[in-house]
Amino acid sequence: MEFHSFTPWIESAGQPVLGLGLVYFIQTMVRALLKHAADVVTTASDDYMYETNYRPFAGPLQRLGGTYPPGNAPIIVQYPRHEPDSLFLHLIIAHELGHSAIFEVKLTNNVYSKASAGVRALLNKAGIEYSKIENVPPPVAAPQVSAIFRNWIDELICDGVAVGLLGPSFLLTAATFDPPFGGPRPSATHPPSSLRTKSLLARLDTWGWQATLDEEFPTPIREWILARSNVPQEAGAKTYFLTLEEAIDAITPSIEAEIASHLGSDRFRPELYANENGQPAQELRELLSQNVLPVQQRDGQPFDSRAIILAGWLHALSRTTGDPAALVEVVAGRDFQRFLAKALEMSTVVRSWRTI
Amino acid sequence: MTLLGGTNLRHALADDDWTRRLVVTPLLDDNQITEASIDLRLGNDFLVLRRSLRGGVSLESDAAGPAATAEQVQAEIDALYERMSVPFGSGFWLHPQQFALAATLEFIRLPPTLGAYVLSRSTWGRLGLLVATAVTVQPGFSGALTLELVNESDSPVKLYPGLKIAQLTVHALATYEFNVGEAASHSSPNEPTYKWPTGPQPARVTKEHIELTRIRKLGNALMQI
Repeated sequence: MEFHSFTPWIESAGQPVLGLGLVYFIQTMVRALLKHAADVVTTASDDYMYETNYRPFAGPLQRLGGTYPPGNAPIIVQYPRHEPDSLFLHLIIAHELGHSAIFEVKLTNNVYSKASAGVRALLNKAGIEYSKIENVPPPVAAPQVSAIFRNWIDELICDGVAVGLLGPSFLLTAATFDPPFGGPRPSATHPPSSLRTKSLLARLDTWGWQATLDEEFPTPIREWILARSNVPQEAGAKTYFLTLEEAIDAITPSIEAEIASHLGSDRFRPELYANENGQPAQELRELLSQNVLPVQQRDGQPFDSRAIILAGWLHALSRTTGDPAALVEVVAGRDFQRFLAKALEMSTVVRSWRTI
Repeated sequence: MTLLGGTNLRHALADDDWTRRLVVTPLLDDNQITEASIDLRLGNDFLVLRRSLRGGVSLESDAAGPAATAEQVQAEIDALYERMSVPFGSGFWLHPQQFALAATLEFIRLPPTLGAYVLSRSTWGRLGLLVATAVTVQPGFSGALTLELVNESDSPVKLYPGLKIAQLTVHALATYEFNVGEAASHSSPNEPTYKWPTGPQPARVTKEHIELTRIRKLGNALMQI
């Protein structure tokens, strides 16, 4: 990376470019995923990309014999320059922050170290296949297969912490990104999107969101997501990818447990969206249908930010045909997303006001 | 039209019927509801008219001339403003004779049965600050209220987002049923800032100062998220 590419970070440090609502929300996600505060710098990227960079310059500093300054380390959060108001797309930042959490807390190491004999046997099998197909000696193949497997675990953990933190909202965001950026073809860095979608659905089911999906997602979108999760990966001649998927299936309980343990009380639980009386979801639906900023409940308590986002996603979809193309239609609706971001900002202000 | 007192304001805020419900959110403190108005706080965003090469503000386009479309004229007007966002705990200096647009922190929604006026609070008025010139809020309005800030004094005034800067008086249209006699039964938790004045009073900023201390704490709390 050239030096000039760092300068927008520096320019963004003093003044957030995103609206305060999004900045507060990103700060909340950082704390939930890193388990401590960080100095969040949001900056617009000229490329269409989301990326996070925790403790930038740590490597060069170390090589120069220096140590990182004390205090909250910076975390750079990049988003596409022409999408400043796309709250629903910005939820993908939760996935990107997952990479920082993995770097910080070694989540993948924890999962990998718990690989059962069955998983190790599948990795050996994949290594042999890789050796033949890629024409490399077995001692070279084994660490390369292991690296691919760890990369896939990385991605699935990042998806898992994002869906754990945000609930079904993240599934909708991931589904929006899926057609342009996903696909059934696996790579050395990313599992096929069908496996990722299947994993998201499994996490949501485990964590009690199935009823929300069944009752509140538009049927065509729910069925489309389900269908995409069932598309077999297109490994072609590279059959070791199929074996790796089997290994992933076998290690899934460890991935799920690791995510749940890491998120702890920061996981977005269904009852925070709709308790036995259907609150606060019902109240959120009512406010949104009246075009009222959903900030406070009738008793004055601020709404949970994740509940606002989920209600916002579902409200926006309810005004469409409910077909999969509606996902794009909704993320193109900038005015509504600015409106929701303002609600996030104000609910955060209310919450903080009550603590002082 | 009838001015709504504190009790009726509370009724309107809690009304289950959306054709009658008044919304003011967030209401950070219950005591923002006073005897006959609701105190409104200053939001974080400001629009400042900047100097430009144009001769002045005009409803005709400099670039496109008389044939300009409304959109072109609007774009030229929009380009005159500089937007700035001031976090809680920081201040915005408004210089003598300077004009800036701001908005209320609160999102307001008036039902079809209520109208309102947004007015300066006397504390700020006595410091020379005008908060609103377009004061009428029509029934059915929804959104944050734009405030037209003008410093009419000879001294710069520092404004802090979150401070109570304006007040909303709410009026029932003829169809609104209100509780007659509520004023007598209502005792306000607020001690009026200006009680029984017998002559011009200087601005008393004690309450604002206490509020500012809280707002600075809010700024610090938000930094810790």
